[in-house]
Amino acid sequence: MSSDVTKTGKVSRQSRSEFRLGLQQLIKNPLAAAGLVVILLFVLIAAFGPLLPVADPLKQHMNIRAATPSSAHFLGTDQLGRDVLARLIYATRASLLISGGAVLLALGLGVPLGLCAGYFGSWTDAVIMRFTDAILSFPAIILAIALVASLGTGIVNVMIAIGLVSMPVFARLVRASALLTKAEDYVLAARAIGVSNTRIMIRHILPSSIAPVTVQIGASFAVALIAEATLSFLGLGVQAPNPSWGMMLNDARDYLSDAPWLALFPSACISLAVLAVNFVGDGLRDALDPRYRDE
Amino acid sequence: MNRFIVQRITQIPILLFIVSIIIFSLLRVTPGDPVQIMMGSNSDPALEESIRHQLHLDEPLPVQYVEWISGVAHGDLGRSIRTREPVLNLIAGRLLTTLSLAVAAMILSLAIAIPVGILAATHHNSPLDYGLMFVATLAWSIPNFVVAILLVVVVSVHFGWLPISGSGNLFTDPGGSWRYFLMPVFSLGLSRAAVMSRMLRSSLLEVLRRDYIRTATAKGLRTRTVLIRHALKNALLPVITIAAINFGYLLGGAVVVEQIFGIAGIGSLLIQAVFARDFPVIQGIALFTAVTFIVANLLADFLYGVFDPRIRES
Repeated sequence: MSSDVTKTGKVSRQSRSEFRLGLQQLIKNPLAAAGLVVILLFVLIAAFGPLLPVADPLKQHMNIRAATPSSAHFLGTDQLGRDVLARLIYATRASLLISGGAVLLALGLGVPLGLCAGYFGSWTDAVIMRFTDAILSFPAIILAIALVASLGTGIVNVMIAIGLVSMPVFARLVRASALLTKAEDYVLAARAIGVSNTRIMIRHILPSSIAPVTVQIGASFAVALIAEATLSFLGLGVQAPNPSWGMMLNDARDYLSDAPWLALFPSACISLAVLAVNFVGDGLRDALDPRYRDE
Repeated sequence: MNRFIVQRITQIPILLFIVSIIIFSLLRVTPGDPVQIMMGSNSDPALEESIRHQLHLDEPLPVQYVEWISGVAHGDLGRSIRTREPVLNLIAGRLLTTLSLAVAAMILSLAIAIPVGILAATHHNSPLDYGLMFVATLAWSIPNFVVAILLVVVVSVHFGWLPISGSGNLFTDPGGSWRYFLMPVFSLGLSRAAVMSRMLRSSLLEVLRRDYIRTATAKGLRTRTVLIRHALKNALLPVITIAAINFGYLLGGAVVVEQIFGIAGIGSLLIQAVFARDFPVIQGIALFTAVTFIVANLLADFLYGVFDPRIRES
């Protein structure tokens, strides 16, 4: 018994050290490292933005509407005379909060569902997988729009909508890992000595899916950023007067000939954030997936 | 192969059943009274009651579902709350516009992705490979509505080369409508081209390492022959699956692109319905896109078998 437990411990430690090795490799990848720096910068802006000496993002100055960038307003003002830099900083908070929350929700639902489907198999697997297949049968953004129409707009509802449509991919990944791992000797041994199903799933099966799930977190975060920006652009996400990147871009549409910079700055923020996450995602895949590590 | 296709086809009714439950639930999970949300606070109570009856909301939940699904099975997706027109007619009236946009974007993305993927794979680990893949990652990272806005700023506002908005039908009037469709098609197809070129590159790299490619090269075949006749045939297979998935993305992406360019397609109908809280239309479009997506995936599975004898004979 003790040898099995020790063996389990060894597998777990080996998997953890491989994970650490992968992360070290990630930092050595220049594009992924640059992506990490950009993401860190966005996170710092989101966290400490309100402490920065910037103007009130909601305060309107009708005498300086759509003003060009100047020393008083580094990125100019919008159609209602609000400081664009301040609005971008506050919008960063909303975008990261919604996207991060959506990915956490997708993880929180998808990982347990995938674990149960893979571990218990049979009817549990069939029901869970057909449900995830059904969600995947919709173009994601259309289902997210329909959910927001149903639940109502606002930060929490947008987070729920994006989280729900992102959930199946985590469930499928964890299920695939669980199907492979549950046939391993150490899992059979743990079952034989009467370890509970919950404990087996958490202690012995879940660690095997850490690498693919970590890679998927990056990909899903990029998708969530785009989905949030799309919903806000369509007027279904963050509601005025609070700023979001997508909403700022939509507001700028009426001023494309007179004040094109109003569209350029939120466009740059959305694209830079997604690009950084994609670089880190690619780096994580290269570092943690053995097929890519050898290339 | 036949068994696989039959198995996939038999799964479809179950899938459609769960899809129908999800769509049916959309109206029912709305916090508060869905009819009051749709009609607004100052609506006529008699009209509210009539809408409630029309949507079967005054009946028990299982009866509501049976009434709704039997209507759907007979092609009755209900009537729009806003225009009172049958939802099916509304969708049918805009179908060709959205389909022409999605199909044109798909063709464009393949036309970009195939040469880019081949060039990157055949120049593996060279500056050309790095450059192409950097641009592909960049194109993949820029949302389609950002590409659309940037195109409007540069192409329409700055240079005045193409009209900002307008509509038409690429199938019936290609000569008159291509000017309206050029920017929407490009903004919709660019990120898909990026995804497919990345996929083709890694798929081609994997195939180029196989023994049969080494044998073909060793027996003196020209590089182009090895690439096109032997390697590309296999490397394009995963692209078929991705193309089917992309079709769903294109239908979804059309929602925002149609909004920007003022195209009267299914996407703009959906957004109008969302703001009008016109749930029968929202449900109808969700059902239509899901069925289209399921059929596209089934077609991809079928094509996979047609193009790959290993799958066909297994």
